Amino acid sequence: MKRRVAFALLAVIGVAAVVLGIRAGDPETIHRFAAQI
Amino acid sequence: MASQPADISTRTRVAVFLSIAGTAVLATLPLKFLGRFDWGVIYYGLASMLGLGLFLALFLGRPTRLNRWLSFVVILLTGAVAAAFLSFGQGMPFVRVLLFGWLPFGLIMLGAVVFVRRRVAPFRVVQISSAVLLNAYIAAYVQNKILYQGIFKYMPEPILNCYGGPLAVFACPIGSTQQMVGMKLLPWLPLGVFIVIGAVVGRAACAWICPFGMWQDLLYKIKVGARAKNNRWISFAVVALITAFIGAALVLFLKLHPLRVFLFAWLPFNLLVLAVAIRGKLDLPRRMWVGGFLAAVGLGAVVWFKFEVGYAVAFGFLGLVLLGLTGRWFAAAFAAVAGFLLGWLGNPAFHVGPLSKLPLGLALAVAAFILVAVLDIVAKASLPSNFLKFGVLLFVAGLASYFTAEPWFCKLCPQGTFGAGIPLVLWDPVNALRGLVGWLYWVKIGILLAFIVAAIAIKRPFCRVICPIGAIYSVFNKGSLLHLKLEPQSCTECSLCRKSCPMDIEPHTGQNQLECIRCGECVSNCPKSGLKFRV
Repeated sequence: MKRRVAFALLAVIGVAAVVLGIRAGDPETIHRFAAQI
Repeated sequence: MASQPADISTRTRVAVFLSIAGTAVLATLPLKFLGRFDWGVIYYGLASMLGLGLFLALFLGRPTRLNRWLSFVVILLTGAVAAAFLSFGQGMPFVRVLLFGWLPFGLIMLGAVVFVRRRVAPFRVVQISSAVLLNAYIAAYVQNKILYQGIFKYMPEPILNCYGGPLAVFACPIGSTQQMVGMKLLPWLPLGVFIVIGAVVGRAACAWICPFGMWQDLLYKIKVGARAKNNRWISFAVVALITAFIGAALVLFLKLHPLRVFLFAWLPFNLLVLAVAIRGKLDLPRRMWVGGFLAAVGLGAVVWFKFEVGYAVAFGFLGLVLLGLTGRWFAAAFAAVAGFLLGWLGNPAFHVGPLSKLPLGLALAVAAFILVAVLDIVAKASLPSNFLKFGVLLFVAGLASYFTAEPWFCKLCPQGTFGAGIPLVLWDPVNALRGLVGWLYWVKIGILLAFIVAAIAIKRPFCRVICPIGAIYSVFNKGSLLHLKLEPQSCTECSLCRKSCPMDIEPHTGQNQLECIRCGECVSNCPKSGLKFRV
């Protein structure tokens, strides 16, 4: 049970990191490199 | 096969579906609420993932005829829904999406349902589908565009698939991470993707989604050594002949030096093929990381001295696999020869005065010999090969990228060579890329060739020894929500789980270890149903 809670929390932290990254403009930064040679 | 593999429980089917559906919702909905994507893309992603999840839940284990056709209908319907969202949400012509996306995909699935009678591993079905979907930018060839630059390139995918590839649809997460680290930015988005996927399914993406994993799995199916049906010497002669033609083409069309092509490309590659042909299938050498470390040192030396000796380095890299396949003193001697060639024959000075760089060559030879010998003695009682990938993650993808602002892992990545480097140079729609080919390109080719040969003899060598993404996910493996569980009283130690494992681990002695990629093969192949997926 503890494991499940811990890793569910970790998944939520991951989602938070994704949200934070999107707010910080990571997609644009990534696109700049990913869409050019 | 000694006994029939057991079928899986309904509970596992539901768990698999919920894991995929949950990951899809977690991964896509935040994007909408942040105003990045419109509903068309979100619904497209959700419909595709939910359809895939349902398809899998039905197709898992030994599917009955009803299940197979049901899963086919599910994938067709959800595919049509996804195509509609893509079309109406993204403004792509509906007919074109149907004709070039949904129809060929549906036909492939129909073929699979009709013709594939024996059990096909469910992860293989998804693996092949995702390899196609992640590299589906056919417009590159239709419209003569080099790269896809649309909305999906804003998002990192969860596995290794070079964004420089002309067919690539998403961004590579480790490439993105290195670029951001090089800019002294914290890579929140790729990091978040790694954490979400890792926490929910552990290393499952390596089995179910990664196209480079797929290529390695397929290469391992080539039978070599005593297991080969055909005469191995004939096979070897065919390879030698084909590579000789390729070498001749390099000499004629790219104006490469024939002696160098022979010494640094044809000869080492064919020696390697010969070694694999003789020895057949192998376990992962425990001390392969010695070779990896030597490769890093050798490459560092090349960069430091600015040699234009791509072939020599490629030779060195090819030899590294040989190091792993053979004994330690042979390895040290081989490294000495490679170091000697690197310093002397490979240097441009060879053309003006062969002896001018001889002292440097000898020095490198001695250094390489001592280095391998010492490392090998140290390695005897230390880390096995698969820990090297943490070093690659930390030093190559991490620190080297941070301090030099260059994506060093990408520069050497064999997947990048296969998916981007080779197709772009061969195709070259702008007539400028071939002119950019330098020594680093040949280093990359050498690394790719080494891994191709290694993957024929050893199960997934790249995933187990080098891949930094695999290293990240493996940290989550011990406790991820989806995990493996063994009922000890069921285990008869028949080792069928190990035989079926694409990573060559022993699930009956330890579940959820670093290398488990959650492919489910041990679960399906356990005759006593002792191994199960649990959430």
